[in-house]
Amino acid sequence: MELVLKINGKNVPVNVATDEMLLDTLRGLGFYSVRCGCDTTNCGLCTVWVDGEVTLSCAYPTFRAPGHEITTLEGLEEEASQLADCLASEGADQCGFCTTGMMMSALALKRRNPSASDDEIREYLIGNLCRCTGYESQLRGVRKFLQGGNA
Amino acid sequence: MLAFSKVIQPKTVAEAYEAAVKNKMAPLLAGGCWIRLGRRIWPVVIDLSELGLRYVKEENNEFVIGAMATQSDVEQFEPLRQFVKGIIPAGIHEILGVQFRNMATMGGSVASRFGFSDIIPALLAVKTDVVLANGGRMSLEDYMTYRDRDILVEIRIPNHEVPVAIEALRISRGDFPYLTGSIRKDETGYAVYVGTRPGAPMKAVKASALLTEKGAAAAKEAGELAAEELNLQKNSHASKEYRQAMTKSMVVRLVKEVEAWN
Repeated sequence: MELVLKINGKNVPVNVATDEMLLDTLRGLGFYSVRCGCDTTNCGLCTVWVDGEVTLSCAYPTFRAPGHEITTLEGLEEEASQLADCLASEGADQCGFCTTGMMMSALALKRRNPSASDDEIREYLIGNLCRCTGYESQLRGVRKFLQGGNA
Repeated sequence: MLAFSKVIQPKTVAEAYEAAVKNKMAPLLAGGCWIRLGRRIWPVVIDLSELGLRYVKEENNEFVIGAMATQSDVEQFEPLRQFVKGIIPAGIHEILGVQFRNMATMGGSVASRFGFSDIIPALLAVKTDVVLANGGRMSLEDYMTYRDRDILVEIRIPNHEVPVAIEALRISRGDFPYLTGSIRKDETGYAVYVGTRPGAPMKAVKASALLTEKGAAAAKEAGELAAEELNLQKNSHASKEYRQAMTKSMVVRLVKEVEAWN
């Protein structure tokens, strides 16, 4: 299928298999912040935004993407850098594999609820699994980011 | 993953139904949340995303949910947060994460009739109807055993405030429940539903009749009756015996909750 996707504000022509998922399309285009973890819509590693809504790209058929705005972490570089500093300063980054997906959720939370309480942060990030940190350091990092704090 | 070489994208419900009948084995693609769990290779799938069924609205004293409305659409629909103390959004809120609920559709959640569904017991308690492309309108309770090839178009919830309560028991937050239940108390009596048996939710007919006859004082007896009358089995999340024991407790808790309604 020949399609044109809008990724991070740019129109990108692609040629994909009918049953290709957005995760594979994005990685094939070099958007390596989008990662494959469980591949069964549970872990949140493949989180991207579709029209601003956090979405699991591992189960999003690419043929549905034309006409929608796809955003990956590469498209949020400056903001992502500030969040990454906050996470790092709180020790919220160990193996780092889950970090990019979690950052997409945290950045979406900032738009949806910039003054989120700790419980609201936990609720919003519940779809992003981490096997290293126990989540407390990530909670601190995201809280610091939402409060506009510097690392 | 679920693999397919051709996708049909109907633009109307009539076209979708025609395609579904013509391609009897073709999966219907709604939110796509479990798409990666499949192992089969399908010649064709039918994509329902272009039917214009993503809406949630109030109409003629009913809440009307299009089959392609996402769980998040419903969770965030303010009038449903006010309806029966918000049990519908509350049931949805427990389901996995935000990303999942942004994708999972209400039609997919209901039409799949998953045993572990958080939503179906809540919808049963508020006497939900469904509208099908060919089968027309029927109660969700009847739809639970409806097996014809059809397209779920809408979910309709009467905007009628009655005492209801729901329960979902989990080993840990974010996991699937190992037991779900709901209760309704109206002018005709009580109705108790139990899900994650692990089969699909169903009415505990004898327990409901006992509560209707004897009232809340018979809660413990009704719990025992529900555990006995329903076909509770084991799976990866709970043994048969554990489900039976917890059904007894859950029914008592549901009765307490619905009696405390004010």
